[in-house]
Amino acid sequence: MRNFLFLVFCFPICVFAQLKGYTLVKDVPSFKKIFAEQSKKVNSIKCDFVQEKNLSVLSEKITSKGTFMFKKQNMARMEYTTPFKYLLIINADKVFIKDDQKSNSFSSKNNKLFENINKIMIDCVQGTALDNKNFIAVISENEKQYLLELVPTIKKMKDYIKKINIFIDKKDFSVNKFDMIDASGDNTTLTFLNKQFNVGVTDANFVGK
Amino acid sequence: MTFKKYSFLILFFVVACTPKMPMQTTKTKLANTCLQQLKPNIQSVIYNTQVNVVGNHLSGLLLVKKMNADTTRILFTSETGIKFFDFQLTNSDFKVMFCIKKLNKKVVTTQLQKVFRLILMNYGNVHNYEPLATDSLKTFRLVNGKEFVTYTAFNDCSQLKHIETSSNKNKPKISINLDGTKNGIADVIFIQYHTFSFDISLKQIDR
Repeated sequence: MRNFLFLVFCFPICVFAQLKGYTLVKDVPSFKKIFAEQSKKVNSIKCDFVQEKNLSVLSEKITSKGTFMFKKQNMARMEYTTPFKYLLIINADKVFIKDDQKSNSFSSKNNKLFENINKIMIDCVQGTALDNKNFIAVISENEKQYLLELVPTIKKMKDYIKKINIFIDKKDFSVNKFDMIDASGDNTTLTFLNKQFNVGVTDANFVGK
Repeated sequence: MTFKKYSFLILFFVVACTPKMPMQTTKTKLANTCLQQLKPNIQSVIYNTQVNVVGNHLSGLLLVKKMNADTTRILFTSETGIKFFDFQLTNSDFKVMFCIKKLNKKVVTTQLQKVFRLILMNYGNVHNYEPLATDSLKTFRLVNGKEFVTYTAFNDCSQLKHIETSSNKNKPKISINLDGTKNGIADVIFIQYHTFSFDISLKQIDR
């Protein structure tokens, strides 16, 4: 734990520049414990999402919307509904993608990058993100949220992702926002809305058709 | 020699040696006018994109943005926000601003540059396109060494229908079909390579 904390606090400041209004969490072990305990109470999540892809140099924002579902231990479904149709289902190590033209199934084990992104997404939702060895994490807080800043340690991920910021609601320890900053400095933000826990999600929602 | 004879000789050499500008034919002038009308006039558009290349399928969003009179940026990202490439195109230059390793190969970026230049009508000198005689459509052709490039449009020059590159034996290399106009550029575009298995489908999305 000491080594972990040493690594976390000595990481280059340019990556972990403190987000305005957030201060470092003093008691990290307590936070981890509560985070894991709260996450155990959640077997499924169903919500809406709004995704914003910010292309800073071009002053452009691409906004899309859809629905998100999660079921323990490792099933996730992202269905984009506007302005395009796109479906991504993760069921353990099986991935199903359906776009306007084709549908495709493959194993995430054949694609390391996908496997790692898949894992961090599921880790975030089920409260085990801080145990993911492929990232170094810094935890901070403000009045209403915790902020987990995750920086990848493996080269293949670093080519695509510079950092992931996860904003966690202090009320119920659910993820409010997931902000992925890519290698070129642009970012993609996923904001989760109208969250419903432990209702209306079955295994059938994670079968690709 | 007298001054008058010198003057005549000087005048003769000046006129004889002055390079003559080629006279534009009426046909070429009409071609230029039509092609200028057809040239995309965009601010910023996004296409829902499907790519099939040698048995692999990839989809995402293609953003085409005019930065200024001379510069266009073209970005391709996945639906989930992962950026694949970011190119900058000017009349005389092409720059890879960002590209994932798998795509960042000269053969790939060269072909993509060519396709984007063809669609943006930024390929070759518009003054060198000659009209071809056709019945119901207007076709313009550029001879670029061993390559022919043709643009085909409706007779009233309101909309571009087809772009093609071919060898001098008339074998098509790249065919581009265009349909509709939205936000100053074709609404739907289908690009097909004939020399290997590669096609790209583009459909504008409403923002």
